[in-house]
Formats: sequence, C-alpha cells, structure tokens
Amino acid sequence: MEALQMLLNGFSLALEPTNILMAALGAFIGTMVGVLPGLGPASAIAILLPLTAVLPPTQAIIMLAGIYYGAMYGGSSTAILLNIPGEVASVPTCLDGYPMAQQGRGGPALGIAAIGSFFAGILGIVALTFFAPLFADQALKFGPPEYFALMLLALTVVISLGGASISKALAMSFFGYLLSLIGMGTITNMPRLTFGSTTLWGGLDVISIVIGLFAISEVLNGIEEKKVAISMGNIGSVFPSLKDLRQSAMAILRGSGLGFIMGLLPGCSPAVTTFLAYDLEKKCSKTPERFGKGAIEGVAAPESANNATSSAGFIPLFALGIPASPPLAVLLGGLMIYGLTPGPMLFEQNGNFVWAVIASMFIGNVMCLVLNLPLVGLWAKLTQIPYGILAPIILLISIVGTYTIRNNMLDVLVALLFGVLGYFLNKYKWPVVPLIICYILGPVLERSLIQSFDMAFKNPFIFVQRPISLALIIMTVVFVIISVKLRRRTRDSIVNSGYAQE
Amino acid sequence: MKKSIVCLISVLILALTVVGCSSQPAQKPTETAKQEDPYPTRQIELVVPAGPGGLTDLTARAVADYASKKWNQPVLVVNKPGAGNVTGLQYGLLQGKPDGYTVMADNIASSVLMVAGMTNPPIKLEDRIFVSKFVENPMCFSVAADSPYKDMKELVEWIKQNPEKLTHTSLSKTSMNALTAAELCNAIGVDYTKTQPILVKSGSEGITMIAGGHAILGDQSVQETYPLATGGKLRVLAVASKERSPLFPDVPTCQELGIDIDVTWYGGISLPKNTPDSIVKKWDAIIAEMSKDPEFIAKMKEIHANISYLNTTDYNNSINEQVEHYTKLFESIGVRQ
Repeated sequence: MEALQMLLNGFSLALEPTNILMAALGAFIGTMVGVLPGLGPASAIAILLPLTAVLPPTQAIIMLAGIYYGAMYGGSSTAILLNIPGEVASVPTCLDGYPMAQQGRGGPALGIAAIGSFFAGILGIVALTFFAPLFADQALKFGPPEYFALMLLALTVVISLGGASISKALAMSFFGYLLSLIGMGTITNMPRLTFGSTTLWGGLDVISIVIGLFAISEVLNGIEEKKVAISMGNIGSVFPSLKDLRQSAMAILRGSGLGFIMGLLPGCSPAVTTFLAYDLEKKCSKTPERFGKGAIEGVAAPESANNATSSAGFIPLFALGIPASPPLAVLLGGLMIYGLTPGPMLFEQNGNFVWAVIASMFIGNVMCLVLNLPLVGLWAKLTQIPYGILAPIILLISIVGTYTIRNNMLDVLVALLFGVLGYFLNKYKWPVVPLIICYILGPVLERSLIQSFDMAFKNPFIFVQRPISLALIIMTVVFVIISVKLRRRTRDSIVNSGYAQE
Repeated sequence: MKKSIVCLISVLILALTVVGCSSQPAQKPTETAKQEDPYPTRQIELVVPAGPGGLTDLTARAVADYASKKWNQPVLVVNKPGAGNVTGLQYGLLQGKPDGYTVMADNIASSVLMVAGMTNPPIKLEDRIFVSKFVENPMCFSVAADSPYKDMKELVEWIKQNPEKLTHTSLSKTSMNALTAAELCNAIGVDYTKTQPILVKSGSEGITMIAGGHAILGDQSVQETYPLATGGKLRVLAVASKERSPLFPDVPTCQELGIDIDVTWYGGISLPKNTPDSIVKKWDAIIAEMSKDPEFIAKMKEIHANISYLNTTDYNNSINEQVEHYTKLFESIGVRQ
C-alpha cells in the first residue's frame, strides 16, 4: 500500500491550481490534436517541447502527457462523424461509428467512445500505479520471435474483417503489403520499389493512405450520391441509453484488457491493438453480422483499446526508459531535457515528480471526459451541416492534415490518389481494411522474422521452442479456425435474415 | 456557454494552424543580398534528418534556442525523418537555398558513414559545407544484467573462442553499431564477418533486445545505454572512446583495457554548398561561443550529451581522415554497397 500513499502525495501536488490547469490544457490540446488528421501527438508534443524552457518539469510533463492521452479521445470524433480517421488507430472506429452517425446515432457513438476511453485510461493508470516494475520486466521478455508470432496472430484479423469474399480480402492484403515495401528495405537498407525516385525513399505514409481511402473517397461517394447531409435525423441523445451501455460494457472491458496488455510491448502501436480489439469483439458477439453496420460494441472496443494501449505505454517508459511509440519517444526527450532519466531510479530520485504526473493522469482523464461528453452534442451537429459546405471542409482538412505529417507534398498526392482508388474499391466491393492491416503489419512481420532467424542462427524452430511465441502461434491457429467458422455463420445468418443482396 | 466553447475551439484551431504554418519563411529572401548585409535578418530553418526526441534532435533544439536568443531571429527546428537520413538531407542540402537560412543538423551517420558505406551515396560530402562539430556521444559495450560475462575481459575471451555465436544489434550494415562491433573485432583479432548482426529499426529497439537477452553484445551509445543501465537491466562493460564517460565514471575505457579503439558518435552543423563564406564564419563563431556558454553546457548535461567543439578546419580534417579509415573498414568486412 506504499504505492497508494505515494499516489495520495502525488495528488496533493497534482491538485495545485497550476498543475490542474496544465492537465486541462494538455487534455484540451490533445483532444484537438486527435481531431485534426495528420497532426499527431508526436508532432504536437515536439512543437510544444520548447515550452519546457519556461515551465518547471512537473507542469510541462503533466501537459505533454495530457496531449498524448488526450489525442486518443479526440481521434474518435472525426472518425465517427465524418469518416476521417485522424490516426490509423481510429480506422476501426470508422467501421461502425460512421454508419451509426449516418443512422442519426452519432451522439451515443461519441458518448460511448468517451466513456470507453475514460474507463480504459483509468484502468491503465491504476495498473501503472501498482504494477509498473512487474509489467515492465515481462515486456523485456518479448524478443523478435514473440513479436513475429504476435503479428501473425494480428494478421488473422484479415479473415474476419475482409468482407464477403476471402479472395478479394487476400488480394487486398497482398496489395497492402506490396505498398509497404516501398522505401528503404528492412535488411539491405537499399531502396525498394522506388522506380529510381529518391522522393520515394522515405516510403508512403500510412496516414495519407488511410485519409485517402476513408475521408476523401467518402467525399467522392457523397458527391455522387448528391448527399444532402451526413445524417438527416436528429442526432439522438448524447448519452448512450441503458441498452447501449449494457451492450458495450463487455466490449469496453475486453478492449481495455487487450489494449493494456499489448500496450506494454514497445512497438505495438494502438493501430494494431484497435484492429485486434475490434476483431475480438466481433468474434465474441452473438450477432457478428451487425458489425460494420453500426454496432455500438464496434465503437466501444477499439476506442477503449487505444486508450488502454496509450496508458500502458507509460509503464515501459517510466520503469525502463523504453518509449513504446513515437510520441512517447518525444516525451522521453522532454524528460531528458529536465535531466530526468526514466527507470527505477526515477521513482527513487524524483518520486514526487513521477507520482504527481501519475496523479495528474487521473485528473486529466476526468478532464477529457468532462471536455468530451458535453461537446458531443456540439460535434454531432456537424453531421447536419449541408454536405455542400461540409465536403470541401473535409477535403481541406484532409489535404492540410496529410501535408503536416512530414511537410511533404508527396503525402498529399498519395492521399488524393488513394481517395480515387478508394472510391472505386468501394464501388466494386473490395475491402480496404485488409490493405491497411497488412500495410502496418507487413514490415514488422518481415523485420521480426529476419531478426528471429539471425538471433537463432537460421534455426526455423525458434518460434516453437520459446514458450511465449509457441502459445501465440497456437492462439493464431485457434483464431483462424474460429474466424473461418464465424464467416460461415455470418453468411448463413445474413442469408436467413434476407439481406442476401448486401 | 456553448458559444464560448465554440470561440475557444476556433481560437485554438487557429493557434494550431499558425504554429503549423510558421515553418514557412516569414519574409521573402532579399534578392539583392550583399556580402556585408547583416545576417540573419529573418527566420532560419534548422533541419533535423530524424524524428523528434533523439540526440540529433535534442541537441539541435539546444542550438536553435541559443542561436535565436543571440541573433534575435527565430531559429526553427524542422524534423524531416525517414530513409536513413536521406529525406532530411535532401530537403536541407539539395533543396535548401545556400543563403544561410537553411541549416543542417548533420552527424557522423548522415555524413561520414553514408559516404563510407556506399559507393554511390545519394548525398555526397561535397553537397555540404561542414561548419563545426559541437557534440559527442561515445559508444559503449554492454550485456544483459543476468549475462554470464562479468567484465570486458571475460566477454572478449568468449568472443575470441566463439565469434560465430556473437549476436549484436545494428541499425544497418554500415551503422555506428556495426562500426563499433567491427572495430572491437579488429582490435581483438576476430573476424567480424563471422559474427551475427541483428538489424533493428531504432537504437531503443536494439538496446531493449540486449536487456531482454535476445542478443548478446550491446554496441549502442552511452546516452542510449544509460536508462536501462541505471535501471539495473544492463551491465556496461567498457566505453569505446578515449576518455571515460561522465555517465559511467566507473566503467573503464577500451584503451585502458588494452583494446585500442576509439569510436564516438558526433554531431555538428552543416550548410548547403555555395553558402557564402561570411555566413559559414558566423555560424562557426556562434557555435564556438555557444560551447562555452554555461547555460548551454548545463542543458547538454541534462540531455546526456558531451560538448566537443571543433572549428571548420579541424572538423573537415577529421571528417576526411574518418571517411578514409571507415571506408577501408567497411570494405574489409564486405558491407560497402
């Protein structure tokens, strides 16, 4: 219970007016950053890093941390309402959130996203408070073979999220993997598929592909359909109904748990965990055919998962000094500027600081909830704006957003190209989700496979000789079996319910 | 109430947009700039060929901070990560105008190692003017805390007997890590090509693998090694530079142990080729001055970087020497492409 006492001490510091203000400011900026596509938490924290020159460490880190977890709250709004995933992690939220908004249920979708995020965030911080060193040690045991097995497991998502035709899903997966090869090769560090152009050495950025496939192609769709507004009906109650809550409770729990565990592993980004959480929810659901057509669990699970992942990321950061994702790497930079070296020594030498930051995360998460829930009604009104006005704004945000990723026109071009491509893919019912999943997983899979072979001196049995990777591979096989069965069941129930032409 | 929220949001969006746009030069360059014209008269872009948070970035921010205060002009750090430094170098050195308003945060990996590692590098040494060096970060050797090797001697003995079992991590075949391991092997008479490098994406991925026991020999910089070492997950055996590192005052240098190597990461400032001499001199002067500034010294200490200033002439000489030495080394281990 020593931790509890330290935490209470932390609260006494975090509740100082300036620190509360910093947590609120961080949460607010974070939410904004999440809303704007392209501007991710990593660049936002980097932009605000010079503030460290004027602020004392506790205040600055409280604010920067607030930006980081606040961004996970904000990402859901544009994903649900406008089909613009601000981050890759928001893609699964689009799958059911946008249909909900179209059905006039944008309010509850946003509400459940905020509630799920809050729950997951708090869960992550509680674990950080009590078990940080324990979890951190476990994360170190994850070597290349374990990552390889984990990515394999994640790949099974393609089967269940690939839509009606498995061959189309596989073709799209392959295309996604092919796209991810563009740029510097993992092993050789030589350019691949760049067609002699050095501009392509840096590869394509996944955000620009995602914005193209979702936001821009949706605008093209809307123009074709002569859409009047995203939703004609009332936005519905902002607060989810009791039925919604009951439906989502387990989804939030599962999403948080999964997101948290995977968040402990460096390099396992929220993008991977949200897809897995969405897929897991679909597998657990009694009515998987509702997914993709506005199932509230499909919003609750990934939104909880991404917050749990980002909170869990603080554990390897504070306990070992390992940044689990790019924004945390920048945050680590911020800590270093103050001469605070993360690791167990940080808890011993700068205990007051660490506990104040942890306590501020509780406050910050409450702020995010308070900030998001009342705003939900306001956000949701966006869906009633005449599409003729909204569409150009979406395009503008998308284009500015893709440019800000790397300050590079190539990314804008890519987004536009993929917008057109996405329009045709939609039209001819080719699923885009497998493309994105393989784009993210492909390079990690390739790297961890080669690393595993290297560290095992070309022994292919390394994957089954190590207990964690063996367990993950068995789980992969089980998941494939479940997914295939689930496909049959879904198909049957769709046929039975008379939606065969869908 | 709602109105005020809307106001607040729009103000913030506006503020963020302004921040995002401020990377554009505030004024158009004056075409009629003469040699005697004062420099700088407007915002300078300091290009970092890596993402925010690494040592190149953190030290560049310290430089930007100092220079903008001294010159009373904003110096903006622009991160251009990707393609193993190439994206940033292209932006800063090939596309940047040689007018002193685009400045490059260069380092050994983006200059010397690129040229030494490739027969036809996309960015050549002649594409830039090396102004001065200001920061150093020695490389060091470490093993996992539960590794059987208690000191450098034991590890070296084992490597001599089992070179083909030695795994170590590296960012690429011609990275600082590969270089450090190769220098060690050469010095102790082991064939480096027998060892097994494991290629990783970032320094932190590599050092984490060492701490987790997934690879044997850590060949990262002291700055990258420090957090996990103080956390008790790594045992630091030797520092690869001439002098001991202030971060590990108790760890011997390789030279103390009779292993004659000196491998240090360093960073400096470069300008696009054809930048006027007067501007090169101004930058060299400010870096020299900065290296002695107590505030800058304190800041560098906080980010665990060693200040090490070399003026334009000395810096260029040391680079030429190193290019020759490392080209030979990379050729001898067969990784030059």
